[in-house]
Amino acid sequence: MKRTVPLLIAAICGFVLIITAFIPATVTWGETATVWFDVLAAIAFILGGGNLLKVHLRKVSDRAAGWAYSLITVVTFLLTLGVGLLKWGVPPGSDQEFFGYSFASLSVADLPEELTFRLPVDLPGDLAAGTLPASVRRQLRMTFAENDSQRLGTLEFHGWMTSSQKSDLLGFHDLLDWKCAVEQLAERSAPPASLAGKVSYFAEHEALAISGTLPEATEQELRAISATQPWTAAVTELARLARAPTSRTLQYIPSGLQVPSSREDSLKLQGQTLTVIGPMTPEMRAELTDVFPRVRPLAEQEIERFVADMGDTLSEDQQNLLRGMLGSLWNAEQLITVLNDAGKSQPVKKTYCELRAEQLAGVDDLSPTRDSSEPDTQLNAAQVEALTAAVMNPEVNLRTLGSVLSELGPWIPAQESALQKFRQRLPTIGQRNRTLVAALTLGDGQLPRATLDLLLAPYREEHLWNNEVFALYEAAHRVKYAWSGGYLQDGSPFWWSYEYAFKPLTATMFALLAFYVASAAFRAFRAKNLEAFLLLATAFIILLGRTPTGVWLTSGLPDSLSILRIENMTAFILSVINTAGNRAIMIGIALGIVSTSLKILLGGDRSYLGSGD
Amino acid sequence: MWNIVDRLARLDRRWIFLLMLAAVAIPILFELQFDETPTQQARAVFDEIERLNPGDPVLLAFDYDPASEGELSPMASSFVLHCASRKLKMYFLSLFPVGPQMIEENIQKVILPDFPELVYGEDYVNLGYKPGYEGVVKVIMTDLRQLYTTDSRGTNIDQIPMCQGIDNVQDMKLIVNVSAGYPGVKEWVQYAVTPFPDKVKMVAGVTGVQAPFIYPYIPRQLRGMLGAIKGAAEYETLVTSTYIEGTPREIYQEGVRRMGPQSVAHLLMIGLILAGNSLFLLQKWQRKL
Amino acid sequence: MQGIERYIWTLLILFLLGGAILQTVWDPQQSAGRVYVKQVEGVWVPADEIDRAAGIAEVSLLRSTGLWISALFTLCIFSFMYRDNPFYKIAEATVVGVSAAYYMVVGFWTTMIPNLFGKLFPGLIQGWAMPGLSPEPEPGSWTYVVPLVLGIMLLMRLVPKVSWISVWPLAFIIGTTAGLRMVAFLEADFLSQIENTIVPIVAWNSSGLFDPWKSFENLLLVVSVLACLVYFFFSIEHKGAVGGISRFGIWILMITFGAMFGMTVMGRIALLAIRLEFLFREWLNLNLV
Repeated sequence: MKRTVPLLIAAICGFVLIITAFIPATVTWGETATVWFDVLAAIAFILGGGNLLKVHLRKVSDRAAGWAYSLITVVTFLLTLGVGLLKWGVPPGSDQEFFGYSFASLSVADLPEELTFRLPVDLPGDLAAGTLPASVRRQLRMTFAENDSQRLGTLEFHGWMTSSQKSDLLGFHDLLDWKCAVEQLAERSAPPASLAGKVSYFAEHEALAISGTLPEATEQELRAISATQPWTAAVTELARLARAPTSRTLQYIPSGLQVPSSREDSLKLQGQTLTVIGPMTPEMRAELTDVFPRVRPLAEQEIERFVADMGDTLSEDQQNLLRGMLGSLWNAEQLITVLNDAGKSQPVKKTYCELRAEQLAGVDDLSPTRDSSEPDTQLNAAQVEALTAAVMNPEVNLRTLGSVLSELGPWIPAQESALQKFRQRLPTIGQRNRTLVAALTLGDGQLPRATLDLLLAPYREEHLWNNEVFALYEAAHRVKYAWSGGYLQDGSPFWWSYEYAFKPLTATMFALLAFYVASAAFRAFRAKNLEAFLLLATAFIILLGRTPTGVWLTSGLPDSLSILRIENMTAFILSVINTAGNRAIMIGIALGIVSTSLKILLGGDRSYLGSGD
Repeated sequence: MWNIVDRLARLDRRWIFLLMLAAVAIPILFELQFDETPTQQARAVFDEIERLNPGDPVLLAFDYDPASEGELSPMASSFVLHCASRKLKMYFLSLFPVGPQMIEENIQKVILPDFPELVYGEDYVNLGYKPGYEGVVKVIMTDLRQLYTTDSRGTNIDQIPMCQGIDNVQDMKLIVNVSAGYPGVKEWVQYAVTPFPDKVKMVAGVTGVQAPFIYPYIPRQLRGMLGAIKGAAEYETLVTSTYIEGTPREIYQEGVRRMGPQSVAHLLMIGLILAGNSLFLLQKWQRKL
Repeated sequence: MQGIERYIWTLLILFLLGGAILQTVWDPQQSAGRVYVKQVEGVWVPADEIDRAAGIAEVSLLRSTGLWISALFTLCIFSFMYRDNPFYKIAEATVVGVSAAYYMVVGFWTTMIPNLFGKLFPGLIQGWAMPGLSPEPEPGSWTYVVPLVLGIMLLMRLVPKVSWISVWPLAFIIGTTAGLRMVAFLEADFLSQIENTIVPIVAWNSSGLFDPWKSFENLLLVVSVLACLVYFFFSIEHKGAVGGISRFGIWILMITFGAMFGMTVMGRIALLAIRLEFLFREWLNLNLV
């Protein structure tokens, strides 16, 4: 058995993979075998490590020659392995951590009956046979109609449906009836309007979650949903987490910093101390850091004043570069175009239920959208004038430009959001100045200390403030998945061992070969006969053809002899003769591989079984 | 005189090592640099990427490690610069265990500073490494999710916007491979391009060692190839002269910069071959006398 | 003699190290031998000249130590060119240990966790290390028991008494590889290569005229491939016409080997260049121009 089983395994696996190449229906067999193969390849790394440890530990314990080096191997192996497997010094993955949310544990089974939403439907029964998307499998139940065992009668959803669950469900089947039912179910299983966007239920994390702090009124509303013990306990836990204060004494505060009035329940600034109640949401953080002015178009005189402020420290070239960069930041025209584009009425996407109604009404050519009934909103002359004046005026904040424009003419939410998006994509003064310094010092450019200080002060301040806010953001956050970070995180000990040991060592090992080819060229390559001469001459041409000297040597040849130019000769050798030679070798090797593979699969080659017992 | 010939022929190899060190070190210290004229192969690679439309998905398979960074990192950063400038959607992955580091380095060197507007997960994604050599290629050609359930940062692949609608590598408009050996360009040609000749197109940047072996695949199985540092320098020149105004940053001149020491060392190699053979002939002549 | 040599070497090493330390202390840009970092979103990332000028960068002690260690490792490996020595051996022992552990860690986090345990115990893995994973098992994921069992059998190789069982997973690996390779080599390296060689011997250029040069290239390509194959064909004696053809085949192969050697040299030099760039630029910040 010791010998027959492996022979059978090899033969079966091999032939399965060969068959899958010819019969499309069996592709998944091949996939499965190959995926297993890939898993085994990973386990082979563990085997390799284990083997290494075994060999070197034995050497150390036997005090064999060179055992001290073996000890180094063992120690570096264990250290690297330890920090890598433990993800030492790796912060949790920032995109996996649900920043801004507080989680209270609540399993699907413990969800109160009030959060079970039912939708009577009439859908084909074979839908129930499909595999539901994993994200909703715990929460969605399909039941058959009482009077017809071939049709679905009810869809039942536990908990509030998230938008990604809705899109997963929509993608489950293409039937319009189904998609319409999903839409209705999603509507039914949405949290009450007053809680929308504030509370969520994440079934995959078995957590009732709340974003930001929990106001008294919201808490009461949540408690009113159900009186079951697990629910009440979860709400109490949420209230505790979302009301825990976190304070930070700030080393730096931007001048004129004020807590936005909409955030007064969760953010407090007292002297040098900033306090956040509950976790800080990413939106709060963005709002807090977005306090620095953005660049605006500069008039001719302003640019000149800017350049003059730099004093005579700039060379002529640098001054012109600075003028060019300051003059080409952005202009009012671009913003006007953006706002007018945003004001154009967009076709409205129909809901699936609307499409279904149309289908039932007998419309053949279903269009997923319908034209908007709203007319286009374009900036009027007064608005354009106000905008053009405002962007050039340092006193006006672009953030509040919308309220000015709305008084002068029509102004729709899409335009407001386009305005804010436009504003947020503009660099801050600090970011602009950093770009200016980078451009001015590119190559051999120099800037005196005083100029650097002047230009980089805003950049420094923005950096300090962003770090202050981030520190509070992090301090107020409760880690949910401590192990979710990437094992290669920059700055972690495992990264360190890669960057400062693995990388230089392996790279230098290979670099040594450059010296040995040089030595071989001098000592071993002798034109002893015609064949050896051909080899040497080719190497000579290839090497020379890839230097500017070689190109220069033959650049004088007339066009009729251009094939003799060294770069053309190199190309000819590589793409014709080398191709021919290597193609013949390739064909030979391919035949060899095919025959050895067949030998292995048919049991002719059993060398991998080892010596016997 | 014969005495000198004999002694030279028996020259300790360490002197030759020293010569090689000097031939590479001195041009680096004095920043010796030459201009590059792109040849047909580099142009073929460049044109293949130029033909794509903004938003087309491109697979960037970076199958190399620090041991061959000297030759391949200039190619890799030029590829990323080119794809990002063309606004292509970039899907990075690697068949080398150290590959994810190479990918991350290129993201930090090229995308973060020069294309801050690109969003991770929407414009580019690092799918990371999977062991299994050619087995990985074989599987992801028909089903990406069998192996790649998450990206290299652990995010579920179904939650990454740019991965929705990508079922397998056949959905890519082009495969760009940077390869240091096995597994690499040969395996991609064998398991990705050859079985799907009408769907899958590929260009590659390879080490000097591999380049001659790959020529037989050009142009039918492989649309274009950059060979060694010379190919890197040519392609780099093409990309930077097209997409960067003024002087490019230092990292976009790595290939051209490294051609300086390269050229001097080539001349040394030629000198060594000539010297070795001259001494050989002189010795042969001496024995006849 | 031995004693003097050791003395000279010690002096030389001390001299070089002293030079490096002096350069670190006196470097006008204060960047030799140091790594500057800045904190962005809670993570320390490399800082550039401008960050330093802005006063937001600081020297990272850990990374600067790392820089010195990697420079010393580089020099330790280079020392092998003189002769084998303890410094080289230490570096060698380190690379063995670190790389084996590196591959193991990579295999664990990129495959064992998401592709094996993540399939078998999704709830456990999701709650522990991969919050993005779905805790619901996929249909059919129980089949992953097979690679788990095979994997355990493979690891039994480390236990002498039951090591025979590791032949089973080995047979699986070998059978799969053989099956994969047979098809791929047959398609890509045999059939496709024959197809690639069928080129028009009378070639026309783009304007419809006879292209003598292209025709010659194509003819040469076909003849050369055939000649080399004749040379590989040992079943007939290489005499007469066959002998002539096979001799031509040898010439073609020799030119091919010459091209390979030339390209290999190119590659190796680039690898040396990047290490010297590291020493001169990253470590010592030497600017001679």
